[in-house]
Amino acid sequence: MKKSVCILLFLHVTLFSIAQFQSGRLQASGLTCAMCAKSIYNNLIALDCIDSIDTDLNASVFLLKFKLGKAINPDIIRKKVEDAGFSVALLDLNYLFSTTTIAPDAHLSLEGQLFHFMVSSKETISGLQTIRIIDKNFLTEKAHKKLKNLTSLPCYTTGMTDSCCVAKGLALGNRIFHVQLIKK
Amino acid sequence: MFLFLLAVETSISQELYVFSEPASNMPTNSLSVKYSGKFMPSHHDGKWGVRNVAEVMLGINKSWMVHAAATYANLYAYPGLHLESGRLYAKYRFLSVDDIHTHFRAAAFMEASVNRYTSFFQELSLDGDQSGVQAGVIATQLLHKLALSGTLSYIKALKNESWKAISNANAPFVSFQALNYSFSAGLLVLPLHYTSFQQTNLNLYVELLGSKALDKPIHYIDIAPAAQLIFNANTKLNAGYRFQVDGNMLRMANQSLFVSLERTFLNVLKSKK
Repeated sequence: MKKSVCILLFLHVTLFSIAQFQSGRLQASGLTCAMCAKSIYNNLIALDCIDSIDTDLNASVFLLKFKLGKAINPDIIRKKVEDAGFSVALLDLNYLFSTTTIAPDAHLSLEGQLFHFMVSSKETISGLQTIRIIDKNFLTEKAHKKLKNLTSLPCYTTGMTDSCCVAKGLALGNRIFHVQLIKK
Repeated sequence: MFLFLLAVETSISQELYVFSEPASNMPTNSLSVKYSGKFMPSHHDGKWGVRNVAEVMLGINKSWMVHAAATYANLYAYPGLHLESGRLYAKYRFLSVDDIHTHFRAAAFMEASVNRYTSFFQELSLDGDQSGVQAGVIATQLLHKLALSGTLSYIKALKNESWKAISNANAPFVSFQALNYSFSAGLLVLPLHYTSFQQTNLNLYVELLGSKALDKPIHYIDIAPAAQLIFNANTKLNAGYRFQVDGNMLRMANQSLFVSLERTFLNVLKSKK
């Protein structure tokens, strides 16, 4: 009996620890110098979900390693960059998927955050995958404008679940992040 | 033009100007403490006088930041250093368009000062010379390692009792209102390639600083080259020389040397999430 409890506990911990965001790559915009990058670094490292950060100061890139078991909220990460006086130009998150089929406009809840997958065709993914948040204020204005012209979904404009999401059984008015799968 | 060409060639920039404020704000919850010394030759004896400025700056949020400063100097009272003035400054960033290694920002600012002494000069300044108010706008463009910025402001000296006496006796002479303006360029020169936060940065600046009185036909235009070293991404050492290239104002000095040391503390009011 004790042995089975241990095995179950082990399985639970293993599943819990692998099914989550592992790391991220953030590129900030609006800065060049190390003093500006330092203010972003200090703001990010103060977050409970961040374990460590590697930087490429020449590209204003921050490689984030997340703490296991801590919730990741892209909005809080974005706000930390904005509080430093700058913007997010790119935020890629690496998530360890169990085998999952993603259809165009599929909605998935990952660690309590709702994600809308903007993919062109149905595909099955597994293992460590990179998703890129493509909502407003997670891309440069130029890049966001281009994408906005490609879709008429109201939830993409507001970043909140809208009539299009309600039709798929979601509640109205919740935060939803729109993402693309990034192929390696 | 030289700076511009150099910038294009090295694809470089910076906007932590020595003589003016950029449109950008300090990071939220960060605090800076700054000592500045302005050294000027005296009209009376040719010796150099000094104005010391102690300043504290706080980033409140991404839109607002404030400064509080006090000056003490040997310029209006002799001998020794005397507390001269106090100044409050607030800046609101109302526009920010960011892209990779570039941004355009615009901000509005207001400041007010209280001065213990009465200036006998025509130049209007809230940095120890007059009690007064100033309000203006700033626009800053970052282009990789080059940063360009312009400021336009209205300054009004407040008439305390001493001012009124001067005003009556020297009505044709005294000025109370002016437009101040500046155009600044800054270039991040070193390092050419970043490898760590600990690298010392070298920025070079050249600024044009001008003032045109609104109630008298008087003005000045200064040029101010400056160099800045940044240590450990938190400490700035500035040195600059400001000199008049055109003007007909009676000023305390037509040239001055400027040095300052500033330390920034990030996340002093941080809340861990």
